[in-house]
Amino acid sequence: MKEFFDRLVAVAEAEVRYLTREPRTLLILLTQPLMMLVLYGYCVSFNLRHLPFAVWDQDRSETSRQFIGRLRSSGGGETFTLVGHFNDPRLAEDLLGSGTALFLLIIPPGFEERVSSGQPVRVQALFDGADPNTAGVAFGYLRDAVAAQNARLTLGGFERRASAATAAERGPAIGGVSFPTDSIQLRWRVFFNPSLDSTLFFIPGLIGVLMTFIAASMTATILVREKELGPMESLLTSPVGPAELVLGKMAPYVVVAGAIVLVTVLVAGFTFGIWPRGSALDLVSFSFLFLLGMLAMGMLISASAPSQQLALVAATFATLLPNMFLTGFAYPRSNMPEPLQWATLLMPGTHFITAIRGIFLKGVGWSVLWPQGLWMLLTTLLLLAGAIRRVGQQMQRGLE
Amino acid sequence: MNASGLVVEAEALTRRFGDFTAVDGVDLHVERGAVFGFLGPSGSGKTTVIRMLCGLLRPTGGTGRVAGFDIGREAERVRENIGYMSQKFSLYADLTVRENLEFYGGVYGLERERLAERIEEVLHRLELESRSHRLTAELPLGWKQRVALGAALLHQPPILFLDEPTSGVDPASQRLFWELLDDLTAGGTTIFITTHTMDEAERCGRVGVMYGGRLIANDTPERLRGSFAGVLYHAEAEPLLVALEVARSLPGVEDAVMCGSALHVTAVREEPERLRSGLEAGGLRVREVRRIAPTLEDVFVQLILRSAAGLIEAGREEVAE
Repeated sequence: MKEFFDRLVAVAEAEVRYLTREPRTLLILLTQPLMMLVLYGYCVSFNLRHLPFAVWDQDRSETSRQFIGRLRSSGGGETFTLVGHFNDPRLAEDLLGSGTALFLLIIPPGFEERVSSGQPVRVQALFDGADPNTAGVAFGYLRDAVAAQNARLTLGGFERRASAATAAERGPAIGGVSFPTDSIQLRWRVFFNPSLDSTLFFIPGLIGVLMTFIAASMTATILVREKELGPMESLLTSPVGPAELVLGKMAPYVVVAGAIVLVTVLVAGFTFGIWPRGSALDLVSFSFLFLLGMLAMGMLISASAPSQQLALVAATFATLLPNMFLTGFAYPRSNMPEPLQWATLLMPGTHFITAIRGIFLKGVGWSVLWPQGLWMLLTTLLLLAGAIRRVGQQMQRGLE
Repeated sequence: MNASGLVVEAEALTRRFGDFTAVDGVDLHVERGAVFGFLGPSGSGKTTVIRMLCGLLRPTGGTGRVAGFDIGREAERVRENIGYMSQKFSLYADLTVRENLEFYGGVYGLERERLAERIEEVLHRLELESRSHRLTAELPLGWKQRVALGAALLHQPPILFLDEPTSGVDPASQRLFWELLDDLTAGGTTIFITTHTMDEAERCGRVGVMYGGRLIANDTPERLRGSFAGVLYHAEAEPLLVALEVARSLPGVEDAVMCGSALHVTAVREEPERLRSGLEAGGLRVREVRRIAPTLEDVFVQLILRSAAGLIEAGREEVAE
């Protein structure tokens, strides 16, 4: 029995030594649950907050401003966020297409007059239906907020009428309190995904998330593999420079990743019937830009990781989780705490998901998505420069 | 290359890893066209010196120049002038022999036509033609090493660093290597080679012996043999292990080591009879005692034993202080 424990202890001891000798493994093991907790805690919520909307106020009156003000302050000011005013129907599509606003409110001229006289008035709400869940929930919130305002107006109107009746010394016979029809009537239309089909919404985003993961994990093992298996030694004593090494190693994978995207798009088209509404050129150029960045990120991981296994774990970790949770793939970013929202803007995946959805569902292209494109270009260049720099440092230091 | 014809120079080259000093103040000078052999037990710092000279590792002290370029500041220029064959397998296992050569030629910027020409030459020279389409992973070690050597000299570097190129390699490949190296040096190539075998060391123009991170000897094989201190005897006696103990305890005997089925005994003076009678007095059957000329191996063993004793002595003094 004692021998049993001695051997057991020996095995355990060796494992503890291994674990403590490579602190990076331990670090990843420890940060994984923390990161997941934060991601789930902050991002996975079916209560939506800070839903972005824009307004075309054609009435520009005290009452219309009050109406907007009440919307903004509903839910303790947490439910809706006014992102801007517009006054051109052509802007409407851009605002929804770029994802700047989830819905647009159009307040007609004569709003104040009709409200104060208790006549019905139609307010239009145009929804971006690309994400059917969010659109549905947002519509529910908006309907409730408008209903609350109607109730207030009705109550106000009733009191006014009641006091007027007193002043007129009794009015017509009271046949019970008649509730007038709602004064503000919401008329809504859904753009981009009128049937609110959630597959339509998920597939393009899924293509984006998968691209991140596949691209980064393809290159993540390259340099570590060479270090582990040997050729790196000969490369380091050769005149090859870091840029040549990084770009040369990446080049074949650009083609491979491109082929994977093509296949994915075709499969999505044939099996789910989801074809991009935008131009193929836009899809190709955005995908290329994004893939390049993700491949570069893989190289960066590859240059830093101590082993192939750890490189793969790190690549999964750096791509799959954050892209599923933080980019707006599954959970709207407007829901996250503000600092996290800013952080997600730094991630190229956030912009690519917006872009690929725009191209697929909304048929928009560079003219609307140029800010996303610009940011992706910037991050791709940064990641490339980072990978080259890191490889250069490693070459300087050799294989110590 | 400078006027003095030195292609490898090191002054007080030092490399520390934390508290451990792997290479301690090594001075080296290798002339153009020379074969410099680097000898020393495992862990003595040979590979570390080579890695510093190839720009794979930065020295933590001292300076070094290879082909006239500073190994720290001009590592890139150094790389253009050297070929390096690592102790570690450093080819692409999934590429064929020819593909590996094509890759390394490309990396060194050989033009297409020149590269094709050089590949044929190297394949021919290393007798690899029949295997050129085999996957490198499938080749036996001796053949892999031939490919590695081929890759290192494809671009005709003026200086070749070979880190134990023949360890574990079959005799036929070994012979081929040395024939090739001799031809290269005849053409002016400088070769810096580490080895564990004495007959390889004998083939070098100059041999440096590393021990404990220091260069403890650096001379021609001939002069190294001449530097042997004392008189060396070949003694055959039985039982051998007892004989070793007895020989070591005899007065006038500096050291005794086993060498095959015999002893190599180092004595201070030439007194073979005294050694024989000493062994016999210990109750041993003595078959033969004769004086022999020390080989490089004997010198090597003596150098290392003396150096080790010196290090222990130095350690004691340090502790005493």
